[in-house]
Amino acid sequence: MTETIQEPSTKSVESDMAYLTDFKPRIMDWSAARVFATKNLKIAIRYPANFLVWGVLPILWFAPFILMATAIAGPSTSTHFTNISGFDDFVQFSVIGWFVFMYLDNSIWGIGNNFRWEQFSGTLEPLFTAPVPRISILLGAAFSDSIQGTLQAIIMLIFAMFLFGVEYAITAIFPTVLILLIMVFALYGFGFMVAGLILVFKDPSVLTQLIAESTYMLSPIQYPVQALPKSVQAIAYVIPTTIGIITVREIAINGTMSLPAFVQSIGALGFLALIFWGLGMLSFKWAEKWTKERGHMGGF
Amino acid sequence: MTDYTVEIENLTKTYISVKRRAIVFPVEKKKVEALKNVSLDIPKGQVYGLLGPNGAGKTTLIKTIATLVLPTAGTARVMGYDVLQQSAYARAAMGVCQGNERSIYWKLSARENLIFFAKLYRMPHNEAKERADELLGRMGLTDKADEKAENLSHGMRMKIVFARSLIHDPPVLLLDEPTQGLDPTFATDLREYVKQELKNKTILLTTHYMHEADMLCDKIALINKGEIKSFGTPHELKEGVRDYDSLHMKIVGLPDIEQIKQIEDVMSASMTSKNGHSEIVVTAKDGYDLAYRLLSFLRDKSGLKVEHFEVKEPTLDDVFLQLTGRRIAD
Amino acid sequence: MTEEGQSEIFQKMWSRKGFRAELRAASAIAIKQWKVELSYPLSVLWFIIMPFIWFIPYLIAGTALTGSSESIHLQDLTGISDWLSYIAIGTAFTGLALSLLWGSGFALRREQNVGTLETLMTTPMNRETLVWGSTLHNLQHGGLGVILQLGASVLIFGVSLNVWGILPALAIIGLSIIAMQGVIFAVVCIVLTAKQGWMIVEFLSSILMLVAPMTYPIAVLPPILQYVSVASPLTWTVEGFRGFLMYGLAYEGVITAVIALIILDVIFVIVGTLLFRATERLVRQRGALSQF
Repeated sequence: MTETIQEPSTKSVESDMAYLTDFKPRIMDWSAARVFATKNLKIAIRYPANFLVWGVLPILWFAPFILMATAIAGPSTSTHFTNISGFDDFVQFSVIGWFVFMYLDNSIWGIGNNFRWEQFSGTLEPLFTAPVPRISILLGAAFSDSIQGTLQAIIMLIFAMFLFGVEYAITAIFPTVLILLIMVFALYGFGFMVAGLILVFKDPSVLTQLIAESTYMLSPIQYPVQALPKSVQAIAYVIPTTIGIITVREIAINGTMSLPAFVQSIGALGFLALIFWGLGMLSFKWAEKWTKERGHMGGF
Repeated sequence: MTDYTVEIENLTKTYISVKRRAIVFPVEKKKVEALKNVSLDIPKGQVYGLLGPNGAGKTTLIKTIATLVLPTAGTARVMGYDVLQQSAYARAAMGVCQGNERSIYWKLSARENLIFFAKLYRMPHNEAKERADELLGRMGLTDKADEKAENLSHGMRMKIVFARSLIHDPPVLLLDEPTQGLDPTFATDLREYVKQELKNKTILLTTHYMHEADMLCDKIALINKGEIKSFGTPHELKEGVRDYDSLHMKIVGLPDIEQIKQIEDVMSASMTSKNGHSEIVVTAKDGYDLAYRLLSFLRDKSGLKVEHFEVKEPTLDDVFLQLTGRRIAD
Repeated sequence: MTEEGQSEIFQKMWSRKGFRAELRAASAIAIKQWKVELSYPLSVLWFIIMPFIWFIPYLIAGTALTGSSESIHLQDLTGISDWLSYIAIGTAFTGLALSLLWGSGFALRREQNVGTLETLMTTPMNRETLVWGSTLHNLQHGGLGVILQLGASVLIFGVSLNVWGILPALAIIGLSIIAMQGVIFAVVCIVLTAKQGWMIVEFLSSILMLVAPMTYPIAVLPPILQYVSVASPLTWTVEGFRGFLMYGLAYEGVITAVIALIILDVIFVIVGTLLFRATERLVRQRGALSQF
C-alpha cells in the first residue's frame, strides 16, 4: 500500500498560479471524500481484530432482550406478541432488527468518534482549513464507516443466526441490498445533522450517546412499531432505519412481499433520503457558521 | 538528620523503549540513559539550579525526586525521607511546580483549583480557603479568583500553577521550567517572588534560561546527556573558563566553521545562520590575539563582511559550550 | 517532622494523618468532579435522561410480549409474577454500575488527558485514594440516578416498593461497592497499560451486564454463563437489592446474597488493590504518567 507523494516544490511557480486560478470552491468535492474514505479504510484494515470485536459485541448488548423475553414470555413466542406484530418468533424478529439498526448506530458513533478523535489529536482545525468543503470530509468518513459497518453487521448476523439458531429466506438478499443502499444514503444526511449538533454542543461523547440511545428506543428492533404509543409512532417512522427494518424483516422472514408495498417502501425511503440530505447540509452549514462566529472550534 | 535537605544519591534511570516491528517478533529494544549516576546534595535554604539543553535529563531528575518516576538505581531523600521507601512523607515535604499550564483544572476557577489541591494536602475547608485567598493575593490574582482558568491568560494560569505548589508552604520546592513560555513581565514577577519571598526554602530549579539561573541560584549543576558535567556557584563556573575569552561576530555570508576550528589557538567554535547572515562564537585563550587572525581569515581569505565584533566575558552558556561542545539553547 | 522552623501551615499539614486525611482528599476529588461535570450542560441532561432511556426499551418490549403486567413464566422461575417491578428495580442499579465502571475506571485516564495526573500524584495522599475519590463521586452520581429511576418507576409506572427494605437495600449497595472497587482497580490497570484498553473494558462490562440478573433470573442463561454470573458481585447486588425492595425484611435470599457478597468483597478488593499497586509501579518505571 505505498503511495507516491508528489513533492510540491517540483512544481513551477506558473503552474502554481494556474492551480490557483483554476481553483473554484465547490459545494461537494467527491474526490476529497474518496481520499478521506480511503485513508480511514487503510487505517481500519491495520486492525483486523476490530471487525470481529465490533461484530460480536453488539450481540452482548442485544442478548439481554432475548433473555428477558425468554424469562417473561417463555422460549421464542407469545400470543400477544404474534397478535400485535404478525410474527411468531421474536428471536427471529429481533435479530433482523439488530442487523439493520447497526447501520444507524454505526453512522452516529462513526461521526461522533471521528470528531472526538480529530479533536484529541488536534487535527480538527487543520483538517477544516483544507480547501475542500467540510461536508465532503464528513461524507468520506461516513462512506468508509458504511463499508466497515456492513462487514460488522454481516458478521453479527451470521453469529446471531448460529447462536440462536434462526434462519432467513435466501431470496431476500437482492431486495435487502437495494433497501439498505437507499437507507444508507438517507443515513448520511442524518449523519450531517448529528455532526452539526456536535459542532455546536462540543460534547461528542454525551451527544452521540444521547442520540444513539433515543433512536434505539424509538426503533422497532425488539418490538413492533405498534407497541409504541400512537403519538410516538409517527416520530419512529422519521428515523431512516425504521422503514428499512420493517421492510427487510418482512422479506427476510416471509420470503416475499407484495410489489406495491415494496415500491412504496422504496419511495418512502427515497423521499426521506432527499429530506435528510437537504436538512443535513443546511444544519451543518449553519452549525459551521455558528462555531466560526464564536471561534471555538478547537477548544472543547 | 543530615545537613542536607535534599540528597540525591547515584540516581540512574534507563528507559527501554520497545519497538514492535511485526505483530509477534522481532522486537527491537533501545536503551536510553536519561540519568547516569547523578549525585547532588542541597543544604537547607539554598537554591540549586539544573542547567542544560532539552533532553539533558533535567525533567527526569525532577520527576524522580517528585516520586513520579522510579529510578533504575540509586535514590533520593527529601528532608531525610527516602523517595522510594517513604514516598508519602517525601511528597508531603515538597511542592512541585511543573511549568505546564495544563497541570490545573481549566474548568475550575483559580480559587477552586487552589482549594481543591489544599484539601489533597489535608487542609480542612476553611483553612484551605484562607490559604488559597492568601496566595491569590500574593500572586496579584485576587480580582480573577472566581474566573475559570480557561478564561485566564497563559501567564495567569502559570501563576496559579506556581501558587499551587506553595499551597502547603513546603520547605522544599522543585521548580521545573517555571517561567517557560511566559511573557517577560510575568517571568520577572515570578523570579522576583522566588528571590524575595522564598528565601528560607530549599529549591531545586531547572531552566534553560541562563540569566534566570545566574540570578536565582546559589549553585548550578550543568547537566548534559544525563550527567552532571560541572558544578559550582555561577561565579566559580565562569571563573573556570576565565582563562578563555569568547569572541562573538556577526557576519554577512556563510563562513566555513570547520576551517575556523582549524585556526591555531581556537578551542571551540559554533555558528548559527539565518538569511545569509551568520553569528559565530569562538573561544580561545587570548581572545584579542586571535581576533586579528580570525578577522583576517574571514575578510581576506573568505571575502566576507564582518558587521559586528566583540570579545565577551564568559557566560554560563560559554561554560556549557566549553564542557560539552553543545549550546544550552540547542 | 523533626526539624524546627517550619511554617505553621506546614506543621499543621504534617500532623494530620491517617484515614480522615484520605477521606478529605477523596471527598475533594468527588466535589471537584461534580464541578467539572456540571460545566458541560449536555452531560447534566444526559444524567437525568439516562435511567429512563435504559429502562423504557425493556418496558416496551415486555409489554409487547405479555400484553399485561403479569407473567406466568417469571412466576415459575422466580416466584414473582409482576415483571414490571422485577425489571424496574433490577435495572435501577444499571446506571450506578455503569458510572462506577466507566466513570471511576477511566478517571485516571481523563486526568492524564487533561494533564493533571502528575500533579495529583505529587500530593501526599495515597495513590489508591485517587481512585476511591472518583468512586465516591460516581457513587453519588449513580446513586442519584438510582433514586431518579426508582422514583419515576413508582410515580409513573405504578411500581410499589417495600419501605422496610430501603435501608437493607442501601446496606447491600454498601457491601457491593467494596467488591466493585476491585473491578474498578482492574479496569484502571487495563486502561493505563493496554493500548485501546477501552475496548477490553467494553467487552468486560458487557459481559458483566449480560450475566447480571437485571431483567431476567440467571436460570435462563446458558450454563457456562451461570457460573460466571455467580462469581460476579453485580449478580448478588442486584438480587439482594431487588429482594429487599420487593419483600422488605421478609426477603428470603438475604443470607446467601450477603455471604456471597462478603466473600467476593474480600477476593475482589485484595486482587484489585494488588493489581493497582503493581500497575502504578510499572507506569512509574516506564515514566509514562504523562503520556499514553
